[in-house]
Amino acid sequence: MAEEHPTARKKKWLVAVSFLAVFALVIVFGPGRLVRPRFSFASQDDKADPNNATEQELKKSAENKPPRPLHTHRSFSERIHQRQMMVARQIRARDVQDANVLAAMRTVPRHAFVRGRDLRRAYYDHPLAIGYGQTISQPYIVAYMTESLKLDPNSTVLEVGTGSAYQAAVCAEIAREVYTIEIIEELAASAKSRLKELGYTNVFARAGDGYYGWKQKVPFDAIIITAAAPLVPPPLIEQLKPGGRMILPLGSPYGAQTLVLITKDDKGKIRSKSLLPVRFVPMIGHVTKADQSPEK
Amino acid sequence: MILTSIAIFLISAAALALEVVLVRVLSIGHWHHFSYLVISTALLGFGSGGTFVAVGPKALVRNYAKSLWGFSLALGVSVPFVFWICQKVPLDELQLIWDRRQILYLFAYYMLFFIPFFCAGVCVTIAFTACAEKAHSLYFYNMAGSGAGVAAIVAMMYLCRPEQLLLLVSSVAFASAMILAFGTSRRLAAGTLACAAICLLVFSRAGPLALEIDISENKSLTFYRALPEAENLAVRHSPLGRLDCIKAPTIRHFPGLSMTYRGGLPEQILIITDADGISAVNNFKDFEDLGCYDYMTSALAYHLKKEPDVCVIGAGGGSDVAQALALNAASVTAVEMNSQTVDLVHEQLNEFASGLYRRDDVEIITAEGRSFLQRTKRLFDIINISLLDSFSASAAGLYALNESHLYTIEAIKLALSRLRPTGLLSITRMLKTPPRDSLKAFATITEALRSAGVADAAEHIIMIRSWATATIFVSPRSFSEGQIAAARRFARQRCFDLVHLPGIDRKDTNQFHVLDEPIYYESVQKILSADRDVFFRRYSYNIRPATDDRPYFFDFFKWKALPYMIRAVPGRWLPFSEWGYLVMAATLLQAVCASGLFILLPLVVTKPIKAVASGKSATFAYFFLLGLSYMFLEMGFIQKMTLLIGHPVFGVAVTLLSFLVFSGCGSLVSGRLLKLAKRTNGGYQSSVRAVQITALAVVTIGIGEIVIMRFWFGPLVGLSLPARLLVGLLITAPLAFFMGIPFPTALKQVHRHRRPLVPWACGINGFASVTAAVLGMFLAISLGFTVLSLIALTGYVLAAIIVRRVVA
Repeated sequence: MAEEHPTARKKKWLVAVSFLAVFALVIVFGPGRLVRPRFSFASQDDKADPNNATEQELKKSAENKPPRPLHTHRSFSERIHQRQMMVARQIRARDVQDANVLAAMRTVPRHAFVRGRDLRRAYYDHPLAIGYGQTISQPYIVAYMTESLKLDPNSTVLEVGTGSAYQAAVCAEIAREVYTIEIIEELAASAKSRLKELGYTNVFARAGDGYYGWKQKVPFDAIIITAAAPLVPPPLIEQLKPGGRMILPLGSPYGAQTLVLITKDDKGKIRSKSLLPVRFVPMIGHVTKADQSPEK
Repeated sequence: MILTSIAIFLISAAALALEVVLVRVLSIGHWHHFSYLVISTALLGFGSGGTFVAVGPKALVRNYAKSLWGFSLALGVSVPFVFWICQKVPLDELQLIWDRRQILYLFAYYMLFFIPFFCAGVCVTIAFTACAEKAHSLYFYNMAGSGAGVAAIVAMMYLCRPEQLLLLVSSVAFASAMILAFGTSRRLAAGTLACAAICLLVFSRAGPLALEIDISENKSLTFYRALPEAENLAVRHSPLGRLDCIKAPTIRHFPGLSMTYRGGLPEQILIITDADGISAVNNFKDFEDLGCYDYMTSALAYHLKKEPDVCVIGAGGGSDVAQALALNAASVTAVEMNSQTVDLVHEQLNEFASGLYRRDDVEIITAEGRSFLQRTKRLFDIINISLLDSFSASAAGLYALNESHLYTIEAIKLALSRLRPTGLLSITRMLKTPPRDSLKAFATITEALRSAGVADAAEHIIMIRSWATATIFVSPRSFSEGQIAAARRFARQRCFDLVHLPGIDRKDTNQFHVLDEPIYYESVQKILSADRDVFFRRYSYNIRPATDDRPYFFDFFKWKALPYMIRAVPGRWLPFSEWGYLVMAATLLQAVCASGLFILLPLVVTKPIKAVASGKSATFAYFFLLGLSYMFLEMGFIQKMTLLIGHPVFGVAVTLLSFLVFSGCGSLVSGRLLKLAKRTNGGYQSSVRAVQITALAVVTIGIGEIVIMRFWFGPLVGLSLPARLLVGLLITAPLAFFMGIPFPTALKQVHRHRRPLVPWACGINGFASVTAAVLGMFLAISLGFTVLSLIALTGYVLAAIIVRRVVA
């Protein structure tokens, strides 16, 4: 067999080495860009923050005309078309019909509640991670949960699990006041500053253990637990007004969730209902009818 | 030659150990689904090594000592380096369906893990090609090294963190480079030593690039660690998983607690396994503090049976033990497989746990649940299996898809046989949407009762559900009127829904936690009916009962439902499907594509291989069949040994160790015998005969052992652990011994007659193993491990038929 010419062999080696060098560069320097960006929110002046108001101040403010979201932040005038499309395609198309909820979803700038690296995907039809194992829910879930609570302008809402505060902001567009508690201090701090920056003066957020609710403001017309919990805290059931509604998710935020709706009748009797599976309405007809074949 | 053999021993040990450590590391940082990624990457790397040597420069083989040195040094450096870079890649597997960047990150993982295995593959192939005349001896060192690597790394997992194990693996590779360098020049040896020292220092805990597992932010541990005042009290490592002990005042883990409960909750510490599996330890002064446990679905057992002797399978932190004692159990036998969990509750958390595991009425057994039930002669009033998920070979790091030997028909029958006549087996599962695993548990229980000769299974089962959990109670005897009335009362008082009990009516169901339709009731009625097969066939998920031969309780996936899901929920169907199965399917597809590409590539590219006139297809078929069959048999025996030995880690370790070491011995002995029996035609006749005799022996022993495991399993399981380990070795050793003969025997002949095909043959064998690792799992799920073993034996028969054309 003829031996390969040395120059040709050299060329081959040169090509191979160049390829390896490029690959090594991509591997070494690529991940530098892939590393999660460090993300922090600007620190806020705590004294000016309505969320730091004392109980007396809160009481006083509640006696006056209820504050409303200001809508003056520039985020409200950004990406309006995307919000309208989100409502039309992801929410209305799935049978969320409450006009107040749809208006709230059109108003709240979701992109102001996500991490910098997810800005582009803020209005996509799925949840996004916000750190600490928490997520900002899929827009449809937020709308569906809000609609299930049947809020009106006089409602007082308790939210357990502030997360990014997006759900609180949506509720605040409809309800009179929203009280929201986040157990992870870092998330609570960033949510507070974000709410303040966006002008949500009727949302009161604090870091704490949501298990005990917000005793000073009981009873609540509606309670929303946004993180999947292994138990429904007994104190929260007690803090729910007769005739009130509580909603919480069961299951993984990325998988198939079941929303559980708990109602308390006028006599204080508790009932719960699975609104399953909320995310994919077409599935209901299939899987809940156990004897129905996929081929049918 | 001896230096090369030792180097191959060390490189093989490092490669196999790396595979096991990476699976462990990814199970902690991400999820066990990554096992497939690691296994297929490892084998692909090995196979590609063969291809690279076949198509690469001839100097690789000509200067094989230097080539081996270079690639073993590269292996040593790449192990920590690749891991360090991987931790910088922001892979979030749960976003895979929405975020296309994640596919890129996953591919980056794949490519990065490929590098060290590729280096190892090149080393082994170079050695086989350069020293093919010593194929038998080399094969021995290769196999023995692999076996030793697995055994050593599993043992070291009790002593070291996974990050340290990576450095250990790296050191083994460096040791091999050092040995090879000593054989070449002192300067090279000094350089190697310096390189190794720098590398190990840089990636050590004190170094600038310290290795640290980056735990996914989607895992429970990340959340619990971020809670206010959270403390990580202890971290333990073992092959069964990493344990983190988290204490925080806001921890409350009471799955499915009734909404009617108004009392207080005890303080808890969580023991979190592999950053996600949660088990709680309760702090209480007296049992009144544990009143909440009477408001869980599993508590019904203690209302049906007074002052029972209880056996808790999977005791973990002791929640179920505490529940039993709080609800007046006379005694509790707590069975927990992970000795470190027991140790934590017994020692470090003893005060917090109020001395739970040191009480006189609590007996702690460190054993796997199924194994304990198999061996014990005691009878219990209640056997409780609560929210216990699979702890399978996947946790040990190999062949994951959640085999579970607890939720099979045979296991349920066994548990029922360990109950007193009026005893109860209680199984609790979390509710899933759409319903599947509680229904599968019900179906498995029903089938177990039927196969135990119970005519009317419906009279022996009670099932209730809360808003989050479902519990099934089974009794060897029909439930009495009093028990049925107690169950109704219990459920009504706690707002739990009845799913099934003797004499139930549709209107009794779906009252408190309301579903659109009483789907659970309707489904269990169909499972109890005669046309259950139609129901199983039509249901969207696979809820057919699991068996020991197909122990995949957690496999719910059905291919025929997939098109429906895709049509019904375009672009969003994945959350409703079963991830594990789809990941495995994707891995198989990738493995087949990559295998095909890399096997065919040398045929097209390499002139020497193209120049070989005949025998290429026979060589292909022979080495492919050997790779496939070896892997299938190994997988089948891992499953059987796990069941026999009763411990997933020991089961996997014994099987791998035995298969690899004894295959190596078979290769070594056959090499010597063939040398003695060398006849005309370069040993052609003796080689053919050796392979044919081997195939006959493998088939005979294989079938014999399948029969032994089927009929003598009971008495064997009753032996002590050392005896079972010995039996495990004795069962696998003769088979493995013969399985080690065909590969080197034929390779030696290929080397003599068609030398350019040697690296190609190694590559084919490697790629067959890639495919077999995943294909075998598919076959096991759909056909069972017995059929898988029989397919493997058929493969050996076919190889024996083809061998004449390979060595001619």
